[in-house]
Amino acid sequence: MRYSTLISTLKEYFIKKGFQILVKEETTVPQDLLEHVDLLFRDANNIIAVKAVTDILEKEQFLASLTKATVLREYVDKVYVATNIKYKPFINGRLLSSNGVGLLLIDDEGNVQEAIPPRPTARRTIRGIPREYINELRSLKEQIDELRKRYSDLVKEIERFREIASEVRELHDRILRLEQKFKEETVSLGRIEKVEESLETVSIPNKEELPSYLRDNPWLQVLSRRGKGR
Amino acid sequence: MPLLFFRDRGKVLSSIDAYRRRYAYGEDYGTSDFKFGPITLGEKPDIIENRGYIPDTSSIMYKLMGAAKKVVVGPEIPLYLEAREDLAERMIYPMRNGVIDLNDTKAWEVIYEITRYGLLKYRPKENGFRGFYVTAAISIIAPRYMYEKLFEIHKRISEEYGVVRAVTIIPQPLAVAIAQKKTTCVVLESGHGNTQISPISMYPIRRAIVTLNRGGSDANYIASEILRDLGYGDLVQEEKLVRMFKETVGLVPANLDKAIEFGKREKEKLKIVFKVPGTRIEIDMVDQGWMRFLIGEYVFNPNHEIYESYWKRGMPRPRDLKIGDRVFYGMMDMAEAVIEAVQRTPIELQPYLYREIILSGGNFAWKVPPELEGIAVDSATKMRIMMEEKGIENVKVSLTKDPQYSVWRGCIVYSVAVPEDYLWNWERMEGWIILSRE
Repeated sequence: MRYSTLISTLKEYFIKKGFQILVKEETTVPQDLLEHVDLLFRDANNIIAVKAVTDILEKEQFLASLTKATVLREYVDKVYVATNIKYKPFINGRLLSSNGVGLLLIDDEGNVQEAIPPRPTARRTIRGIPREYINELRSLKEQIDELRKRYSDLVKEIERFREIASEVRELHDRILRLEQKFKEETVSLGRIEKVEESLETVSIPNKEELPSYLRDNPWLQVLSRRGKGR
Repeated sequence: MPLLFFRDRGKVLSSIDAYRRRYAYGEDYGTSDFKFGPITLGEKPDIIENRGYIPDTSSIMYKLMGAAKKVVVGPEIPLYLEAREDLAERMIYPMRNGVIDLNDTKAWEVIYEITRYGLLKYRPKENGFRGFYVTAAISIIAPRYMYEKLFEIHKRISEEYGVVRAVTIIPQPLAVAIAQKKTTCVVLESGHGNTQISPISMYPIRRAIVTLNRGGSDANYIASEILRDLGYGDLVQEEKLVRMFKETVGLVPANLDKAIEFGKREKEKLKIVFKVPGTRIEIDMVDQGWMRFLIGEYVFNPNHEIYESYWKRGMPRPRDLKIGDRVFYGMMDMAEAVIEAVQRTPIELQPYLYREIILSGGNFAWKVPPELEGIAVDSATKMRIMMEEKGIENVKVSLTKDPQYSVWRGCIVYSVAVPEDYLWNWERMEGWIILSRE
């Protein structure tokens, strides 16, 4: 069975079960171990790793795959080894069970059989955290909650100021428009002739004629500051 | 020279010279259409199909036209069209999936031709013209070589015709946000081949982008299957016809199960006859009108068991795809994809992003017949319902106004506003490349 066929079959199997595909960067598995992982999935809070084995020529080769899979259990919740069903005779089921590694067997029609279920890894994080750290974390959480509350109050205040600022801007624009209109009214006849001459080739929108998407667009201010410090 | 001022808290922040008010230029390389033109076009850009035809040099038409054109683009294409069987080979749609292969010479030649066509069509005649300030928009998933190729094309055109003074490239979702005047938002851009979910806060947050391997073409597949079921299997090869059928009959259900139940009960209300324009063919859905809901739902969520039977019959199932470092999810529903993208942004920003979700692209343009209100909904309502079902509240979803033009409009604003001394930088992927200093 080709590696790509094996991988697609496994993806389809896990996606049907409602699992979500993960990219390697989304896990905490160390880089050197990642090369022994072919697929990673998420099922609720559980991370599942799959090692796909395309050919097993001898029992030692399978043992090597198993050793790597066992190490992986330190970092993920469940580990499977997957291979073609024809290699079943090479596989020591008892060894897999005792190491908590699951076995998936795939036949040539693409049927996947969970021959040995994996044993979930105990939650390392919870097991290993001393009580004083937990207390410390609790106190930090309280402080964060307090800061969040203050932040949320501040955001509300800012929102109120924004609304006021927007009203002021609107008034300002109205004054500008009126000023502009006033200037246009008083412009000399000679100037008008000059403007008309240039309009013959390309129509120049004045502020009143600016396209709707340019009028009062906050991005004009944001973009005009590009390069002047983020 | 007249100046345009922008004010904030009473202070003049920046001014833009009259030159860019005349010669700002936008280019939107969409999957189906190329939208282009200078600011002086006002609200709407010029549009041609994003495609090129490579004529058979031995054909009579080619000889009659007397031109040595290797690639024909724009309104001239119909003059060169030959046998229908030739179409698939000779008609090149370079951006079908938003991305062009580096070595796809024909596709890049088409891009050169459509770019040149636009810039020359609007080349001003007056003496003061020193070239356009061009902002081009491409897919946010476009790899670096696409930027390099597009810069090369503009450089070549600038050298040949002197029509480009400066050029820059921005991702399409950023252009949409600019046109919609939203500086903090999530833009869902759904094109022919895929859907990009891009959180934006002054800048595109590239690490948070989620891409779905699902777009308008997938809705076409289900529309084709429905045509087959109705006995019009011979028509499904005509992609344009399938698209028109989908756009005319397709509906987005508020809830698929309830909509199907309603459709089977109230057959009259869902009756529709689709007339193929320019022909005498009429497709009557008789009492199968409930199938109309399958088309719209598939765009938002293909996970309903009813689609299983279509996949079993051979309809392509949206699959997860990995291109470079990016996973294109096949079956993830749209609301899940938005949540996934927002969760990759800083936690303080997340509520603001949920408050401005913008749907852009033709794949969100679904009609709601008045007699089906409540059963069928528009895309914004559908998204809101889906988000609420996942426990996300205070969500505001809006459809872009004039979705066809919004990317181009964003490009024009960008061309007008970004300072000339803000030069291109590959790390931040922004700024101008100055092509002519005259």
